[in-house]
Amino acid sequence: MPFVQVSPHIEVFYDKSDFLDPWGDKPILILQHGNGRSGAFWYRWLPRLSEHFVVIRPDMRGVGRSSKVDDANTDISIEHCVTDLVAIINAESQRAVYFCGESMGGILGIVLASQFPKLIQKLILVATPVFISEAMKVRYSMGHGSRLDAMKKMGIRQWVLETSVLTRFPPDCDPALLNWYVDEFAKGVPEILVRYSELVNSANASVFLPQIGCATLAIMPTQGQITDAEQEHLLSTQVKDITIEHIDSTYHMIHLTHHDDCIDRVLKFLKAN
Amino acid sequence: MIHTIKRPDGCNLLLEIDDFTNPWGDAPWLFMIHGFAESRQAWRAWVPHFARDFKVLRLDLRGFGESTAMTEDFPWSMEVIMKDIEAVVRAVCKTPVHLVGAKSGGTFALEFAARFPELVNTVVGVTPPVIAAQGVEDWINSIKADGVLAWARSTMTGRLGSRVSDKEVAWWVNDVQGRTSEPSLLGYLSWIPGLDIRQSLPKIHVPSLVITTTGSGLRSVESVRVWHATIPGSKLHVIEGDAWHAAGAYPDLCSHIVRDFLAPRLNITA
Repeated sequence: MPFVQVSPHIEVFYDKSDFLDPWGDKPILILQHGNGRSGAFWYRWLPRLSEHFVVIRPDMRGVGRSSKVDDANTDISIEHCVTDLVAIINAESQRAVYFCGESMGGILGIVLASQFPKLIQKLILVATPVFISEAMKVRYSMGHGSRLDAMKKMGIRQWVLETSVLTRFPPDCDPALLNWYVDEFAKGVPEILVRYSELVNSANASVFLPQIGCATLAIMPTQGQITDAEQEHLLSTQVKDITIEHIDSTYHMIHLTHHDDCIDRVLKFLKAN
Repeated sequence: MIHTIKRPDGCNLLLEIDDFTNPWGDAPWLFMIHGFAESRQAWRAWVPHFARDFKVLRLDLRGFGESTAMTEDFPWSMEVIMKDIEAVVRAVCKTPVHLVGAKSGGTFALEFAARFPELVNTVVGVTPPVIAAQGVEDWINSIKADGVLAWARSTMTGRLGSRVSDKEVAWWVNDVQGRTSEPSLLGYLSWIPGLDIRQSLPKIHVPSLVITTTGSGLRSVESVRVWHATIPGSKLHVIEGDAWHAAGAYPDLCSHIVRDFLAPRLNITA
């Protein structure tokens, strides 16, 4: 299983699924998870996309199978996560790759595509906020002083369960999916999960949007609680070549609840010239 | 995910599992057995068709792929291969499996279904020789005289059909068959002429499917129909094509045929 050594004490893991004909073309698609999740959360996307692409699923530093970090505050930053992706792309490809990120994974994609334009051929943003709105910060605080306070006081598992019911998964979703999501998320080291939440809370990718040179597709929930109309307006006015499509949902985890619909759109976008 | 299983004689069996099923679920196993001088790599194009609904297990048979190579004097037998497969099913899958084999891997799959009905839900043989093909002596002489690579190259067009591209032939020759250990090949080939599982076929009582091709240089459709009729309730699917290795030459088509066969028995779409 592949790792890249990104610092003397940090190895970043990525899963690589390659079922393509070895004698044919092998385009690479990177699927980047969002805040607190891991590459494992993309499992529903794999079989269909791996018929067409070598699919690489990185685990951000500190989560999943990547090494834990000594000091979350200094070792985890947007810049570090982006340079980790650059290391993975350089290890796996001699040419530009396709990149798809969900939620915070899309923010990394925005920064990557704007700062390393030669590495990204096409960019896909799934339920990706440009920044976290004040209203959302209040919702994720769950009655505590802040999101970070809530995570610390409620415990990670309870916080992720309650916020998932509120914002990520619709009431009619398979309860087994919700339970698995919560259990999988709660496997993370609390200090690292809190640090990532802090990062995403303070992130603002607006400044990078005009520098994205590649074709971009954004797939958004129709009435997303994290990706609101203001953010979509920013994307549509600031990114040169962007298509915004919608999936009928008011919940954030469309890549898990509407995976086939998302995949249809991703394939159409990536297969178009 | 790669696993190895150590057999009592020291042989390490290597297997790979691709599983994109719901992690909380109890998905069925699809157990894939490759043919002579191949490895689990022969199944790679099949995996995306199944791995959302099945835990897909691809075994490297002993002597092949990344499992331990056998010496030329290794006493190959149906018994030893059956025990290897049984060990993997019991140790890894722990429940009855859907078994798919190609070429002689299909022969092993059918034999296993006859011997271990309690470990098999369904069985598919893709172009399986139930009686050894003629010409094995020629293959042995060719490998001894010119080596594995030359033998693989000289037989590949028949195996993959007339429409195969040069690049595809090069991969099968250089990266699959050409990498097989020569002692494993020669030992196996000295055993295989005696292969005949016709007595086992009437004992297969799990749902079964056999896939064959119209233009195989190794066997006619009529000859397949003769033995296939002895498998109770079995289905036969005939593909128009001149490859004798349909699983390798037509992986997408074969995958659709197998999904069609499995769908009514499972809660999956065809």
